[in-house]
Amino acid sequence: MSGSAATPTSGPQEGTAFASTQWSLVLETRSDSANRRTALEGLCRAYWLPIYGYLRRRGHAPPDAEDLTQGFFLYLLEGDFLDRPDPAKGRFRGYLIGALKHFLAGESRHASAQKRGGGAQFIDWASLDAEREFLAQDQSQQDPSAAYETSWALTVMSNALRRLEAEQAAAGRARQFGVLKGYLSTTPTRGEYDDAALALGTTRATVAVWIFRLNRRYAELVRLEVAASLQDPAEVKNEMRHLLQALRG
Amino acid sequence: MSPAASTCPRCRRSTHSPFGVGGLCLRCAGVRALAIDLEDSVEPSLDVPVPEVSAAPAGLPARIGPYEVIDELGRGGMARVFCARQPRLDRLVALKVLAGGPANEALEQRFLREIQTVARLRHPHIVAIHDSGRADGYVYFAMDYIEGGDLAHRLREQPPAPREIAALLEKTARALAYAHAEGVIHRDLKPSNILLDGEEPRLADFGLAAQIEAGGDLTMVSAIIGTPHYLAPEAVRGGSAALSPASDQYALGVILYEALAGRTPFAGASAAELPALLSHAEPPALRLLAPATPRDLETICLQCLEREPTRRYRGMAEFADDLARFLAGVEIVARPPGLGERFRRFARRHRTALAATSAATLTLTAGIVTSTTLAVRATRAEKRAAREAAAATAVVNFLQDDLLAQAGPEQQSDPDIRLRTVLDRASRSIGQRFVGQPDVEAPIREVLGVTYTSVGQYPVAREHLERALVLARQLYGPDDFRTLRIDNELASILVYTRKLPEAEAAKHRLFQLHRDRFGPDHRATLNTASDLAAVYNYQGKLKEAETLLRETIAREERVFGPNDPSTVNSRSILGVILTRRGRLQEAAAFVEETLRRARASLGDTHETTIVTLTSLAGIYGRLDQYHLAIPLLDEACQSGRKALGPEHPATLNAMNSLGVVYFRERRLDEAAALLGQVLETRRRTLEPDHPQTLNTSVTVAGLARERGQLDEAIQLATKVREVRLRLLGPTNADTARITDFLGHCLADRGKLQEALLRHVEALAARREKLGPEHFETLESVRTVAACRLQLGEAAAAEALLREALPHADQAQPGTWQTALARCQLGAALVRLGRAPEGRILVQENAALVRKNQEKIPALGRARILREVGAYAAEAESAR
Repeated sequence: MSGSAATPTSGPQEGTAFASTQWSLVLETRSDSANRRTALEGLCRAYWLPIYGYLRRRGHAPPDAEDLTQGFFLYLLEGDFLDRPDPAKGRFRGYLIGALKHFLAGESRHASAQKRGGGAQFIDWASLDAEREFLAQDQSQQDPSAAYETSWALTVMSNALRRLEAEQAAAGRARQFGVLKGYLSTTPTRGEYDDAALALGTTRATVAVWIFRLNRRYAELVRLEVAASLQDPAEVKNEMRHLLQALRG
Repeated sequence: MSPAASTCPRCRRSTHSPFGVGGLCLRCAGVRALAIDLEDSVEPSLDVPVPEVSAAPAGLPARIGPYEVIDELGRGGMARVFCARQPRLDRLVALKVLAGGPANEALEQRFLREIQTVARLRHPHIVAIHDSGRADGYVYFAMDYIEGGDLAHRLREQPPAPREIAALLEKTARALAYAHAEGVIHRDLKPSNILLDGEEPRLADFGLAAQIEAGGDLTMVSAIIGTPHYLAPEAVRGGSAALSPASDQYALGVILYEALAGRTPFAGASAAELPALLSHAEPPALRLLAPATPRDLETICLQCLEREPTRRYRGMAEFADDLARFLAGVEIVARPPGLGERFRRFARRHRTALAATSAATLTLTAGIVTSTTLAVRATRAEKRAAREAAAATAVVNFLQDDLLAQAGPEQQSDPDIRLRTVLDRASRSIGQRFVGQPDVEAPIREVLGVTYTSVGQYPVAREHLERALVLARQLYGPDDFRTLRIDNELASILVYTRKLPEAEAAKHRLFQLHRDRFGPDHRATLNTASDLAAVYNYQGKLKEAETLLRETIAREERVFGPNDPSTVNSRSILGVILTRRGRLQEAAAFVEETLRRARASLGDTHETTIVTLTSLAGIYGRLDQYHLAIPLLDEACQSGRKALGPEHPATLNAMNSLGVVYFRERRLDEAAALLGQVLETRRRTLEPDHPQTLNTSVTVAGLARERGQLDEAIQLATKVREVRLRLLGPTNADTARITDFLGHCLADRGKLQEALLRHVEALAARREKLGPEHFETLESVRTVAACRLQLGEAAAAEALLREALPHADQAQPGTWQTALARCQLGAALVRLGRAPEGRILVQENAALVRKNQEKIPALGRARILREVGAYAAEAESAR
């Protein structure tokens, strides 16, 4: 199982891992529309990890957490839950955790039925190393809700990063990206500029420009990813501040 | 299943990365990305302080102010450029740092002040300056870091196609138009200052390089910084003060030329050789070096490279518009220099170069004329290109075989050959050669006519132009611009020869024609309006001149802007007219304002500024405020010598005016030295017969008379009179003036009979041309009367004066002039034995003259008082 997550471009989730669909689109489309289901599926596939993490923090064992995640998404997609009025609807992040809590409250009653999920496999667990990704993020001192927020923020970052890598690869800069991606999180030191310049056969100044551009593009993609999870684009800055807080926390 | 996450050295937590290689920490990357977008500062938001690690290689400063130095990008004489990072904004910048050496406080202050100005500029094609300051012993400014290299590199590696470079420079010109509108001149345009951001040009280094240097010889500064080859001729001559939007345009023209031809116009010349080349030589024809150059693009390029700033595009926007027209495939506005202009240029070179230079220069010149003329002819209408090219070839052959070839190897033994001689030979050889080829004959005649005009040979000029006009009317129709150009040249000759009523009719007709044909705001229309106003001025129709000129100025200010050289020139002329209308204070104020505008928009050493200085000094002179006039003329002379050259007409005019002021101030030695120099230069650079040469000769003759050098005065005056009789005719006012002056000199010499002849001749001319009431006619009357009295012809004097006095009472009642005439009449009567009547006339009027002696021009005052004293004494003794 290990390794598949490290090369996301080759995984079966390719293309659906990015929040290329908009939460606002889901809300605006009629409930019986096939478009809505497709859009919502895209979003759910992109944000399975915070749900899984929340469930694990609540004490569910990995197989149970997988089943519940699966069942929750089916509940969302097939029920009329989405059409009920909900003040948290403006943000996909808030909406999803609210819906999950609602789902879990009813779960004890419908446990067996929901657990099987009608047999449909919405998330392809076989291609994911869910537990490994959970552990990579997990902070044992966090309560389930705080863990959900941190995981959500990191998932946003991760989705944007996958998109950046795909873009770079498409532009024929996979090698550059491989050498330089580390500098998305830290500024190179003297020796590192020299090493990178040597490895890529260019000058220090050019390395500096590439890193600069990579950082800028990544920031843009993060903003797009955040915007995709909101009903009102004007809320982007607030949501970004929230995520910044979650990451620092 | 073990956690794959490693620990981030920065936040000391799990890297949280599914990409668990390459040192990426998703948390830190996320914080950074969010902070960039939230425009937070990046570094302080990280949880763990990072140890200071220098990113700079050894030998470079680690930090300059708030910037981390990453690499050195370049190094020049004045500055070093670093690639640097501003951690707080996670921004990459190019950091330009004033090169080391002991800090020069004043220099640094100026550098920083200049940056403040430039930092205001915000334009997509200008590299933005973000910040400047002084820190860690460096004076620096930070600007956008542009990665794509610069145009210099591009020209070396992969020269762009003509259309590409046109598109690139159109954008650059628009950026400069914006900067100029903001009052910022680039001053140091060259390919390495046009950075390339992909295909987009981004202008860098505004105003800075030149500003660092404290004025003075730009050629040498450029030689230190890089190359002087992009400097405009006026900047090479006039130093940094002569830099203007027009010099930026010239530099862009050089860049266009270089991009097309692969070399700058005078590549290979050293900094020391360049000034001479810029003032005498034309760049090699572009299409010889780069035959693929589109003709229109060559025309656009040449327009920018005009030696005279006023002949370039009026602004960067016009230049950009013409490039856009070229790119869109529509007709451009720039006109290839007409054959006439080409030849004028040849003539200009000829005057100074022909006498001294070798045949090689002329062979080269001939080559230039050939290629450009061919290009010119064919551009006009592609359809007729072949036919016109054939005609052009015939024209060029004529010019080469009959004109230029005369200065070829076999004529080398005659280094003093004059343009006039060459023209005369060419003229004679036209004969009947071009019968049946009007399209060849017309341009040749025009060229010869225009060139003869430029050397002041009006009668023969007129012959050629009249023939050209007949042909042009048949060929192109009466109101085609080519026909009108010849027509206008002929009308100008009428002005130059002071055939004023005819000139007025002609200029008036042309003004109306231009207005109807091109509209009231067209430059050609406004130029004819100014010409017409000048004719009104010469005619003494000052009111009409003022009205027309004010309307013209209003249009020029609206169409070209208040500071356009045309506008400023028209304002100068209006100043002259106001002066002549006696509104001296108003004229002074008006021209003072004109001068301020000229200084502000064109610079202290622009030709128009120098002309304006001279005309303001003229007004002060009329106000007898020589103490104000002299410093202005001193400045005009100095700036002119430096910026335009000691032989430039504007410089010579200023020197001439200063000489005249010295003369009036009776600083005769200084006047003689200066005017002698002007005369010598005009004789050499113009023709001996040129009106301006003659004017200076007249002043020098007057000076000689004043210094008692009568033979020299008589000799000079006789020569001038001969020329004017020949060129202007006997009744011309200028001819009359010199005839009159010659009479005075002869009288001083004691040759009274000869003097009388001259004075009578002048009087007759003035009566006919100016009428009996004109002040010059009345002056002639007094002169003749005095002369006759001296010769003992009292009866003739009486008759003359009795006839003239009613006119004098009409035109100059109660003045010293009329009093003097009455005094003369009295003296005549005394001689004729009618003493009491005569005595009373003499006594009363002598008293009047003495009372008004302050109003007599200083120069003649003593003489007149002596004359009056003699009459009074004679009347007394007859008692």
